[in-house]
Amino acid sequence: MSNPPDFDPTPDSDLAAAEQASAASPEDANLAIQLSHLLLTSGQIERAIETANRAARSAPNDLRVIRFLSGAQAVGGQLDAAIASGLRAVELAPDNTEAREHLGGLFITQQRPQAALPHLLAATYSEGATASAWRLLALTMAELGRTDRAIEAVNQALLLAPNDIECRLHLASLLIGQGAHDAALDELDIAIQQSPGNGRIWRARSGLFDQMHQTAQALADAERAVELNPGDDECCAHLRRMQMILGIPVETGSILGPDALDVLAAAWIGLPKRRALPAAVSSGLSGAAKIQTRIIFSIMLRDMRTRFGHTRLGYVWAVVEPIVHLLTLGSVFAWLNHARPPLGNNLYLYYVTGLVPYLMFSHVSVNMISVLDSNAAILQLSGIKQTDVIMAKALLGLGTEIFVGILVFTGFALLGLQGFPVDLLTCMSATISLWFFALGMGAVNLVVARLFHPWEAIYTATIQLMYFASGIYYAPIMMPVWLRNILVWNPVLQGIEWFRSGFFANYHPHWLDQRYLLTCAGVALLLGFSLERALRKRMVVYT
Amino acid sequence: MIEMIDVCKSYRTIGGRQIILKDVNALFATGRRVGILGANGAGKSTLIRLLAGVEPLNSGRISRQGRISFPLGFSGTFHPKLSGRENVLFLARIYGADVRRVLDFVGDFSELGDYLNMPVETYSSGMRARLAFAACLAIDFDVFLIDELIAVGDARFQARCRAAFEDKLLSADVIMVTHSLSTIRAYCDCAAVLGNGQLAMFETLDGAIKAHLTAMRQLPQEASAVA
Repeated sequence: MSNPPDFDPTPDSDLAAAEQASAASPEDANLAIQLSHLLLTSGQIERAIETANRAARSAPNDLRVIRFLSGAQAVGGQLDAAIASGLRAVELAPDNTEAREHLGGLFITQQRPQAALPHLLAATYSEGATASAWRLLALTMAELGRTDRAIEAVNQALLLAPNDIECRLHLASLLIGQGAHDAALDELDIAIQQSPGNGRIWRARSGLFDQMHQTAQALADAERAVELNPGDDECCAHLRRMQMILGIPVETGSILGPDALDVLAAAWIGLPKRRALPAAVSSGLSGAAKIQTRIIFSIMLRDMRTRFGHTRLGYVWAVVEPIVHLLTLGSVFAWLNHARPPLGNNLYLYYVTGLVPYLMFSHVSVNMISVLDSNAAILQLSGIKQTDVIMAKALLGLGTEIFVGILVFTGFALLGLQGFPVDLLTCMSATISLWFFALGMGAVNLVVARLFHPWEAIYTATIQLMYFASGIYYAPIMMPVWLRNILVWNPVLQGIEWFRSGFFANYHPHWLDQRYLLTCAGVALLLGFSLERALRKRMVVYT
Repeated sequence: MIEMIDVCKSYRTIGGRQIILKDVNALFATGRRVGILGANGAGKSTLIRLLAGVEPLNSGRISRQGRISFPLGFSGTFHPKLSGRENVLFLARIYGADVRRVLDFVGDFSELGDYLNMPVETYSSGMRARLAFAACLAIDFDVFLIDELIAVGDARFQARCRAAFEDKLLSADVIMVTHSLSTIRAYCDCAAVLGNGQLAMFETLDGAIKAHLTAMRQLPQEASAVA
């Protein structure tokens, strides 16, 4: 039996001749082996093993006979007997690598990698180690958890048989197990080049891409694998899984047969459905107003937090600053001027009743110039409009100044002076009207400063002049008539006088004209917001 | 759902007027995931900004239904002085989301730990991006706008982002600008091609990708013809 066994269908005539020859001399092991081989190839495995056993009995020390017996027993599924014969063969020729390799393979089949290891190591130590020996060693090492040694071994196998796809797939799977995704990908790419029509490689690469979170490529490979192996349920299930991950609707029935669908149904129950319509969106005027209010309020909170840097108490400065302003300037003027207060019984209180509305106007109308720049970041958010940040700024300014007013006037009350206005409603009307004027002026400033940069400096200077032309320190009641007739055209002076008419008892100046202030506020608002609307496109702020 | 009605958009540049959209009518219907393809400079990012409503139109109208997201992963809206937590709180308030739930999600997802209470200016760019991703995914938007899906963080965090994003895809629409055809194939079920001031909507991905590739191939030829 020098020829390698070949498994071509054996003509019955050969088989009959061999049977005759072997029957003629039953002690001849060689003839028995020949017969056994023919029986094996013709599918009569039981008889083949029987004949091989007879040969082994007549030549118990013949390596070839014992090795053949082991092989026949393995084919017949008698693993224990095959191993016993294999061990005997190795005993007879400890240096025969083929016998070692065969025995190692048998042990692996029995899932006894520890037993296989010494034989496969021996088989691969020799010069003539075959690719399959290395491959078996790799399997053993992998079984034993020695992935690094397994990779070495499979690389050796690939050196000897570079076109062995199974081997390369094995290497790739070992590399994946070690997390060497890129190296595994290289191996699979080589395998695909060598055998582009092998669906298993595409399936393997798809799994790898999936692990690497390259879901799109994973999908493409899964599609290819199914194209090449349309009957492979596992491939189909994998493809379906990839499609599901990607949310791609599957055309049922196109690639997947009815059986495959059952497999899938078992694996993937409850594919989430894409909702048909968004949840009811609050619409209409009240809904829109609610959203707008919410947005403006959120911006105000953010502004309070960030107005003065990162200190958590930053906003306290927004309140303290005007109070310090009131204390210092009011004190200086009150100290310099010992005259009787024009109204009430305290000069300082008189100044403050002018300063509080004035500061509110000044802060709101000046701060608006930079509102788009300071909020450029959040204007990048869908849903936030320029008018939202403008309103947030203005409302925050109003709230702050009202809070300052309450603090200061409460302070006066605690000192025993008149702390509370005689007519709160009038004071509030005056404050709100002046605020509307400030908002309108702020909107005008915002737009004009965008188109004409020096405007910021011009307006700031004007506001400073207004400080002395608004009747804060220099009471209109004491002005020469000619001067007062000019200064009453200042809407801020009108606002302050209106405020004082509510604060002090029995103060109803004949030069006070509320409708004039309201008209100014209306014109400013109309002008400011029309300009903002018309030139919005030219005011986009880029971050 | 977002509908564009007779939308025109152009820029003035040194080289003359750059037309991005010319009388474009388009519907990004509910239940669709639309990819937007186009050559560099065709105005894809501008289109996303237009849809988000942060870029003014020259004329026309864009009507939106549902909550439109800010671009996924966009961290430019964070205030550097505010903590990550406060910034997220602001976003949750702006979009009327459940503040508690959003903060929980971001705390868990961003893996920023104690850094969440530190000012954003102390963050690395990776941390910022993680926060932005987490914040966007935490809010239940009806339409997600995406200007290039950029991978953030290490492989594990990317996997989590992907999973969370894929989860969102089940309940939200997507309008996505990307150069990557495989990304489009992975996440979109139809696509539009932007070019020459027009936004051509295709029912199928393949149609759009073919048109896009054809257009891309023609560009160098045109250039060489001019030369």
